[in-house]
Amino acid sequence: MSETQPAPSGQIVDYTTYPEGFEQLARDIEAPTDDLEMRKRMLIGLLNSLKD
Amino acid sequence: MKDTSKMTVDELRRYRLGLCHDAVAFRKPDRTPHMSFYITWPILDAGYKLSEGLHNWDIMEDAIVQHQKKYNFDLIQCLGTRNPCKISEALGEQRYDINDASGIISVRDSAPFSHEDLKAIADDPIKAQWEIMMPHKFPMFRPGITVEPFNNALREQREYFSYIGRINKRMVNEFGLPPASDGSLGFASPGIEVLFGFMRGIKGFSYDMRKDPGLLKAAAEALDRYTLDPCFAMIEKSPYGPNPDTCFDFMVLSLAHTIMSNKQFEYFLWDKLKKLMDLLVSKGKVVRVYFHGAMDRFYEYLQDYPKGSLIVMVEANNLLDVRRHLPNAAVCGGLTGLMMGSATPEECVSHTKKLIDEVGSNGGLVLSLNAMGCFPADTKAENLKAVSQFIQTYEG
Repeated sequence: MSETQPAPSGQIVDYTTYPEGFEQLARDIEAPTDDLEMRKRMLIGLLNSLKD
Repeated sequence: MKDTSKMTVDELRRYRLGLCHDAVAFRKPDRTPHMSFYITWPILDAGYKLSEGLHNWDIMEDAIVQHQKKYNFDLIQCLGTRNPCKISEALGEQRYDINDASGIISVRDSAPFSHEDLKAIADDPIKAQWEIMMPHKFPMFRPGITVEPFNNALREQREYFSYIGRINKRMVNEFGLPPASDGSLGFASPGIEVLFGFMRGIKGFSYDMRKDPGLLKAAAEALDRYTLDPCFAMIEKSPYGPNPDTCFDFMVLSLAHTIMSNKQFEYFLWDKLKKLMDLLVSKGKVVRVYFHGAMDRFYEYLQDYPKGSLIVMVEANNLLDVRRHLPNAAVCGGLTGLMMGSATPEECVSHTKKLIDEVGSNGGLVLSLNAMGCFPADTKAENLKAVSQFIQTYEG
């Protein structure tokens, strides 16, 4: 397995890093908004669900 | 006693709200309200396997609807929303062990952080969760992971939220069942509870409290910014007074106190909970307090809240003892899983009658199971049926 993946945006990213990978993932996820801050909040919400 | 059989759905909803509001205010109610405190038991009672109910929201919805149709509760604490397995499963984690043969679900203990990680949590909780918790909990969270598993998890989360909206609406509009709490005020999860329940585990948390209490508190306060502080803001913004369309306003829940001395409780937890409860009471809200386990060590913290502002969910104490020490607080509970699962219907009804006569004849009581009903042995259906029918006809 390669260590990095081409994201839909075309960039090569490693989503497991923070903040770079986290921010890139926020850009790449399917979301009903283009607002990056809102997309990051969606990921933080997911993180909250995943910690339980 | 009012005849509810001729009521419209909305009249029934208002009637049930009145029962709960009267109970909290210690006004003699038309009758004692009955709350469902069942979690996964309704899935089994409806004839489904746990794995089916926990992986299909349509099945869960049917189980909850059957639960209400069969037992005609006045409020339901959990509408099948407590174990959203599929969100974490989308990222490859099996958080729950589900045994369909025995009807038992258990949560795997998880302590993704070490004592040394507390500093990272205190510095930046989101970074710590991303870089430490995620690879620990999800083996697929490695360099090379694609966007797809995250999209799947987000899709499952949207499905989950959609189910919450759907089932709440259906309960109100179809069954006249009011919401237990006011969702617009948020749900408080103090950072110290997050550390105890999801990040460090019992053993690690106990070690942290003794090894470096200051660092543990700093980590908790960093988490509070995400898990607790938003509630303060929402409560501040809310209008004065209780929400007339919900049974109660806000639930304060604690589990971490069970392994704390009172001194530790005051240092780690009570300072935050007191601020929260004081704010809620100053805004005229009704606070439901659920301290898991025996709560007699904690009576002293709740004694000064005004009558009418507090209802305590009692898990492991005698209701009369709670009433004696907390005459200002309504109580919720009274039915043990041991009794509901093993006694006869007549014994359950006799116990219920005694409870209403001794504790609830002038308000101040919401009848419910004392702890979350999850397993087959927690209740026999015929016992719940008998208690439900009795409580709807007994004025006390």
